[in-house]
Amino acid sequence: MASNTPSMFKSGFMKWFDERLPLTPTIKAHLTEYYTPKNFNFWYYFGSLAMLVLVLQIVTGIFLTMNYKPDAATAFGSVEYIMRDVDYGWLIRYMHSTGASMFFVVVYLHMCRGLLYGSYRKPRELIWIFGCLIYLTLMGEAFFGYLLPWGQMSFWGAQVIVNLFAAIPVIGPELAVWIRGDFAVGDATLNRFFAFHVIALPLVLLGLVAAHIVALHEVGSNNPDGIEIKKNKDPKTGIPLDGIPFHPYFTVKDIVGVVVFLMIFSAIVFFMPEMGGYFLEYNNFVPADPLKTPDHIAPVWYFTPYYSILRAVPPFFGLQIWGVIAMGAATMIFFALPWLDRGAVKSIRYRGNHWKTFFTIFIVCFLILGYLGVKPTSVWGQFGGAWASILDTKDVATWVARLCTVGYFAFFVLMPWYTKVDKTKPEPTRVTWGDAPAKPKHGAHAAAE
Amino acid sequence: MKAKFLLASLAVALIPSLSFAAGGPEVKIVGTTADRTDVASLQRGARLFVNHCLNCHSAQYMRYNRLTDLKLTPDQIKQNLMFTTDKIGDTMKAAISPKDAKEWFGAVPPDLSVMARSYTTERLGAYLRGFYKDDTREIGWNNLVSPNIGMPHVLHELSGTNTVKATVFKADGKEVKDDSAAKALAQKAFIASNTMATFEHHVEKKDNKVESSYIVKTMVPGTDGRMTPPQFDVAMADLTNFMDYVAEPHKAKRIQLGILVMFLLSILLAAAIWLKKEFWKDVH
Amino acid sequence: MATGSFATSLNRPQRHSHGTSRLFALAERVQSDKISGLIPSGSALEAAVELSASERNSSLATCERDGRNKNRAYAPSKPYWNHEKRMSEPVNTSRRRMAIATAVVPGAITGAAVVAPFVATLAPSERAKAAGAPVEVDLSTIKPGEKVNVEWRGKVVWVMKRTPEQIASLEKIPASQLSDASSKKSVQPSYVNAKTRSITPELVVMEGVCTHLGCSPTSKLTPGELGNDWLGGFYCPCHGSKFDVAGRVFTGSPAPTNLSVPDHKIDGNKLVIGITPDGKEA
Repeated sequence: MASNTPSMFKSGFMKWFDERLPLTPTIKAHLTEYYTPKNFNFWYYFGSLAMLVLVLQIVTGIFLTMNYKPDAATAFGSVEYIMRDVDYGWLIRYMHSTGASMFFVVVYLHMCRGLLYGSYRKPRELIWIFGCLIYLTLMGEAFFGYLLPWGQMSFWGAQVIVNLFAAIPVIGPELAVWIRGDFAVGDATLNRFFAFHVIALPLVLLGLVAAHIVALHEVGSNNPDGIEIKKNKDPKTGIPLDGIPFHPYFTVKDIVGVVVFLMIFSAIVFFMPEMGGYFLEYNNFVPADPLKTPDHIAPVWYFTPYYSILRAVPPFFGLQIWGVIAMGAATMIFFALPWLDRGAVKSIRYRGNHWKTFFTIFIVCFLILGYLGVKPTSVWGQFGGAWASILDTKDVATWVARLCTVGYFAFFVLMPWYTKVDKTKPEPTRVTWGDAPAKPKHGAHAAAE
Repeated sequence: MKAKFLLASLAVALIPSLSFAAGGPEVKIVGTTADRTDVASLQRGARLFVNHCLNCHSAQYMRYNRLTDLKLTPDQIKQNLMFTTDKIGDTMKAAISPKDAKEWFGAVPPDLSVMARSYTTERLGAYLRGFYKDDTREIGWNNLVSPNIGMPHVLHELSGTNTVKATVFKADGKEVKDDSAAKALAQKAFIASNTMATFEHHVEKKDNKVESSYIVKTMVPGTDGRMTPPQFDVAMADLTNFMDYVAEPHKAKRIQLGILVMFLLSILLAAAIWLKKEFWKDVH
Repeated sequence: MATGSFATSLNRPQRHSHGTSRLFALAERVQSDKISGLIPSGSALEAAVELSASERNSSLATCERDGRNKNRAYAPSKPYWNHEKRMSEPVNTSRRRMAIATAVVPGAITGAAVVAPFVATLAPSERAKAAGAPVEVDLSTIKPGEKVNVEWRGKVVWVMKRTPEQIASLEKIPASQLSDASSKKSVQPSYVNAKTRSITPELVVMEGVCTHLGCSPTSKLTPGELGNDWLGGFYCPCHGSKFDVAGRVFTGSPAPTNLSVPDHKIDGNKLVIGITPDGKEA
């Protein structure tokens, strides 16, 4: 696209440059002449914020590798070395550890936006698929990175996750040994996880992010009304009537979002870097000890919904694999979303009660699963009396997690049905500014055009 | 509306919980805490740390010269605090060699550099005060916070020989009608204790019958120590304070810098909002 | 980069359009805005040029009525995405410029504040500083004429007790044979004698690192070892630099200056390298 556009310069260095590398046409295509729906709301900050956190993680990560040692004997010590002996090393480390959690906060909100406004629907299926791949890569990146501080949680977390592969029938045990490169998580595991964390997955991530954005700019952004601004173009200029150039309008708007984000981010980094044990777990300040499992192992908070699903599914036919399958399915099912949704409208603003109900159930289930994942299964006590003999597991929390797992999957599996029968409201032809009554000046604006 | 609700629920999910009962008994701490900015307290804590803890434990990531943070000169550090090395840039090593320690104690005593972070400062303060005489154990000591820990009460010369009074609350069908009444009584005794106490629920299966009992242990301070109980309490607050400092020497600087950063960002925010409003006049 | 482009777009020269038609000026304006990257081609403003004749006249008239700035009375300088506002309320450029400037200042400070700690992490760490701490040497074990090598900050430092003959040899070398006889260009603390390059004539402390390209010279202390007039000294095997027993470099050597003398302090039989005689760390 961009390369077809001739340079806007008639002479001089920039003309020479543009004839060889389409710099200004690219800037035009992606910034100054990328027409963005003008009715973006709060939810539309998280895309650019995710990009910001990615850059932050890469830069802080590079500086951490300058002092980190991927060696089982020295890894824990090198992290403390960074925290104490390297000038401002503590700041870089806290930025990286906080960045990891904030990456997931931002990405979860970004994904939620996609669900709310149907951003995965035609013609944006590929954007969504790239997004899902980014999410999966990010999970891998976080998992590999979590081993590197070589604390107790790092070690036992990796131990548990790698052992999930051992649940695969026949090849499982051999596979787990192959992944670890040893009979237990050890120096070889740490070294290869380091390689994946600092080079392999970041490269994949960058490629996917580029694809995500190029695909977005090809079809154009969705908006809170879920209608296509390209349907209403100025007949003369071909520019969407409800579109405004990304730069300068969304640049200045996103700067506000970035500063607010940085304030939250800095508040965590400077005043509560452990975030009460959720961003940096207490047990991870104990060096890895293969002989002693901590009393309570919970994954980091961003994995806990899936960990809950894993724990909730009971073994069938003597096989443990079902929990692993359910957990895998819970992350992979997002890919199918564009083809599961048969609704007449995209945005929650015009959806019917069916969709709203299932969506609320999904969000509530996701949050409860997330909460239960950091707690032991005994957190809500046990069933007593007659129930105790009927149920295979008496823990109340396990049964709640099972219900929530059903709720989680129901949102997806039943989607083709409930979106089809849903009573939707009519979509407007032009974008609106949200809840009625519309702000008068915008109303007048829309009428005038 | 929905957007706000969802965000709020996410925030709730992220709020950290502060209970530290997980894994052990519920502990009631009676004691003072010292402030991280109290340099005199940190200095006293440092003296206790090098005189007692460093005999068997190390703090291998903490350098002696870092103690200049506590308004000590290098000479003061060398003369009063350095016993295991003569180079001020060295880290704090244990007086005992790891090999000897393994022989004597069966395990190398853990490094204390980040102990306050893994064990949490609150628990550490309780742990240091939680030792009591227990003749049923080979080492002769036990701890209310970490029952059956392998460490003896090395500070008993200071605190004196503490003992523990255990009271069992159990339903007997007469004065204590049922289990919930026993629990209520136990909780009352736990809360009423004016020394350190723990609360535990014991469930035992005996001949197909489940026996439930509640045990409240309260500390009885010893009187044969070099310090009075209030003095020992302050000393442990100082030691905890120092170990909290050792676990993260940059904490004070971090918070100071944070305030500056927040101030700078709030100015930037005001400017960014104005900039956005100026440009969006074109749109609105 | 983003703010930079706002700024250039606001600071572009104003154009007068006397003698040309107003419509032409408007079109030209749009063109210039397009070049500055602020107005996308095909924007509403460009569309305004194409408005029907009657509408065009009225819109130009509106713009003209706004006489706050004569130079820009012919057109708003920014596209208005709100149609009515575009007609009635032109952009207040100076206000917008103020807003950008106000954002750029704290933005630049924030940027610098982010970069600073990253730069700081590259400095020697506490561990490196501890390893580079002053080194103590016991002098009682060194005999006259003997040289010992001591490691300080990753460099070899020679500690040598010179014999009376070696001290005397320094007098015999004419200044014309030395590149820097008075050690003016060489690294050497002020409390060190310029000729003997030491605090006391006997004990010399210097870095055994050739000032040419960093090799370590070898000892050639026997007189006559490097020719008849050789009084004893050091010879660099890499490029043949020659030094006397005070580390002074002979002319004709590639090394530009004498061997460096680090800060050191002598306290009876104890030598401390890396500290000045009054106790300051180097």
